[in-house]
Amino acid sequence: MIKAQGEYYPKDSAACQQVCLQFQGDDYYLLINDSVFEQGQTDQLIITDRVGNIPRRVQLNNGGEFSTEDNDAIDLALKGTSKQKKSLNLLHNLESHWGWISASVVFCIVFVVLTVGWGIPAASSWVAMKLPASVAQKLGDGSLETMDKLWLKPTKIDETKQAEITQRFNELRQQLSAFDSAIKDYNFNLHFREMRSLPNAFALPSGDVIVTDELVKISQNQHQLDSILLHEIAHVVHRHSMKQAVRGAAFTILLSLYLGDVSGVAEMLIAIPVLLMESSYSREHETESDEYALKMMIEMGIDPIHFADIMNAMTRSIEKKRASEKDSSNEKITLENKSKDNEEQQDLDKVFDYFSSHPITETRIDKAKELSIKFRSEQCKLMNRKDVNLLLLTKHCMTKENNNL
Amino acid sequence: MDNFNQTPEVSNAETFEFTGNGWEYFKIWIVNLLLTIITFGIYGAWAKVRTNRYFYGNTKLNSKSFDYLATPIMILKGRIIAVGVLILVSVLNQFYPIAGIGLMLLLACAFPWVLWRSIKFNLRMTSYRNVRFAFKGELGRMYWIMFINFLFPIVIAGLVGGVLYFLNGFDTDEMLAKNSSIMLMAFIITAYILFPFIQKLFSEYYLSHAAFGQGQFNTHLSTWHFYKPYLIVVISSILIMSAFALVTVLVKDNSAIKALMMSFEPQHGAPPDVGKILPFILGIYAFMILLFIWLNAFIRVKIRDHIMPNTHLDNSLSFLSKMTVGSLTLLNITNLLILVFTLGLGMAWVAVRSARYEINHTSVYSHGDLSEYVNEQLEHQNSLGDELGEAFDIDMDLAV
Repeated sequence: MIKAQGEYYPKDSAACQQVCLQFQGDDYYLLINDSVFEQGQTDQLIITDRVGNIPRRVQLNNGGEFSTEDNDAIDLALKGTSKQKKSLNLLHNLESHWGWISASVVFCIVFVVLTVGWGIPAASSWVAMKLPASVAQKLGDGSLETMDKLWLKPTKIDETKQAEITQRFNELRQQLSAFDSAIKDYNFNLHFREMRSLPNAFALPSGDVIVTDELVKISQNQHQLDSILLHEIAHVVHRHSMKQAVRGAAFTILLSLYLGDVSGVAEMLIAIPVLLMESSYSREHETESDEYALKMMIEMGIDPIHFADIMNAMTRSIEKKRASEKDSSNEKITLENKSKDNEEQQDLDKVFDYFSSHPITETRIDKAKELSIKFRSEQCKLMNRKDVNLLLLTKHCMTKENNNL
Repeated sequence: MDNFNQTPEVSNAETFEFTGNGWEYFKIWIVNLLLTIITFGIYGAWAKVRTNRYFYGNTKLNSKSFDYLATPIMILKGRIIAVGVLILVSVLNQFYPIAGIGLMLLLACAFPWVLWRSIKFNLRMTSYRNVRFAFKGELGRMYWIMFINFLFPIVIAGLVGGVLYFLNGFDTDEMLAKNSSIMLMAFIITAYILFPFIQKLFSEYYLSHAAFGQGQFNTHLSTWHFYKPYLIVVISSILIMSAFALVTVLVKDNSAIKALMMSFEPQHGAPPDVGKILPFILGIYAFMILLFIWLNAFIRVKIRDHIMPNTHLDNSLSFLSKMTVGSLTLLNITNLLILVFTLGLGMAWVAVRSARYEINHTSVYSHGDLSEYVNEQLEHQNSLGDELGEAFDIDMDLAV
């Protein structure tokens, strides 16, 4: 016999009495003060599912309700009865079984990692690429104006030079369209600006590519500038800004749904994880653009070493500018401190690599140098073949002449 | 004489009690998550019922617990209808845009009705000691509140637009853009200024028409007591921002700061180096988050302190809030830390802690006997109202 203490509420009443519900065989007996008040068959009872340890409610034949804290007793009573009653506890059993709990934890973590790490980015990229080019155009509209107001100044490069570079830019686009037909979908515009004597270049989703005066100044030949222009074109063609926007929005929405309104700070909290994710994706974008630029350079027969050279030139130029700004603030930097700073800087750079939005410049330069070596050896092979033919031809001509002589 | 915020005569004081714990709920929560994902959300209806039963069932007054009576099928039906409407709207927007817009306008007009049904459903599915709660408010009043909430700012924006038209004209594109943004600002500012008043109207509407069995809740609220906390928060924020601005001006010429600012620029043809910006951004965010939590707690406690003592059940029961700004702030900060350090898995503990805090800091003062109340017979209501509300993301904030 199984007993459970609890309370009894007659139908539609809030008045309650302390009672005891007993189970014997296939029957139940409700006892008030040790005398049977109500009885019936256990199968006729309507029992609520078990949820944790909340009170269990049992509806009796007469419509009254029995409520008890003793879930275990009720479970025991149900054990002997028909399968139907047993299924009531399926969920509770899942929730109590450590095996199921661990499996759930693992599954949920894996699911989230997959969704966040692959699902959302893949879906966002797909969406961003599927949108018509005109949408990308609109996205960049007005950005250049804003930048002109905030950090850019009108260029000081003379008009002939500008025309020359713009001509080259259009040539590049022409040549590129043979290897990448997507180029034709975008309206590219090259702009020149002055930005605090720093060398820089960036691209807007609208197809506007901006180069700074200093960058033009430090580039020693046309091919160096070519590599930068190709890198920027890559950003536009791969729709990096759009992908970023869609991805950021998707993450934000998902995170909002999950956090709901927990501490009342969900809105603020969300920005940080999204920012962290986006900075690592930006690195991927930068690498993708580098690879595109280097690949196209090789296709067009331009030595990748020029990419490495311009990167080096930019680094030197920026460091010079930093040093001069430090001097102008009257801070004395001794040689020892300077070299220590550099070491620390390199270490810091490595630490921040994960958080960094662009791959460390060293890596980019090394990659370009590697490809340059390959490129040159390919060229050598071609040259060697040409040379051998030339030699044979010369020999042939000379032999012929000799014969004539 | 000020009738507000008087502590009622103490007869029998009972504090609500929350008996759930984090581990127990975590097990329910994680299985809910697993099954919901596997079933593409269908299990969500069961998950919701289990969650609510857990929280209601562990909320006790006088050692007796509350009950959540909805069944998963009710919730599921409502959700299926909501999804159906969503699909209909998407399809119409794709092929018949005009009809799509028409349908969306219709839905906007139906919104107060959906919210009203939602409130009725949720209250009817709640019971204490076998007696159900109910909501007897009239639909018309709900429309009136929503009308003020939305249409009033629109009217103000329109008036502003009229004045601008008179002054500037809307001829050029630039004028149009400028004027439109001013009108939008007017709309937003009016909506914000109106918010505490709307909150008061809504709280009053909800509480005055809530019922427990045959008993009727009643409340008497003052609009000023809703505005006061918000005003204090706004003024404090302005003072803090001014302090910040002052500090910024003072350090502008500092060389270390200048060097820091330089590292924010785009470099090497790439976007700015986030690695250098990150600590700076984190610092500012941390401060703003703490401030935000504190201000939120302040508003919530002050408003709750006003609503509860002024709400009664017939003439028999009164309520009291024991929450304090300090303890609520601490709770929310620790909850936030839990979420961050468990990467979100700690959600179950956060939910339990919040519920425990809120419930353990609420008291009831009674003159009579609760057992006298009897269940009132209500017409059968289906779950449509509740789930339609959910699918379209309607949030009911009672600040209690």
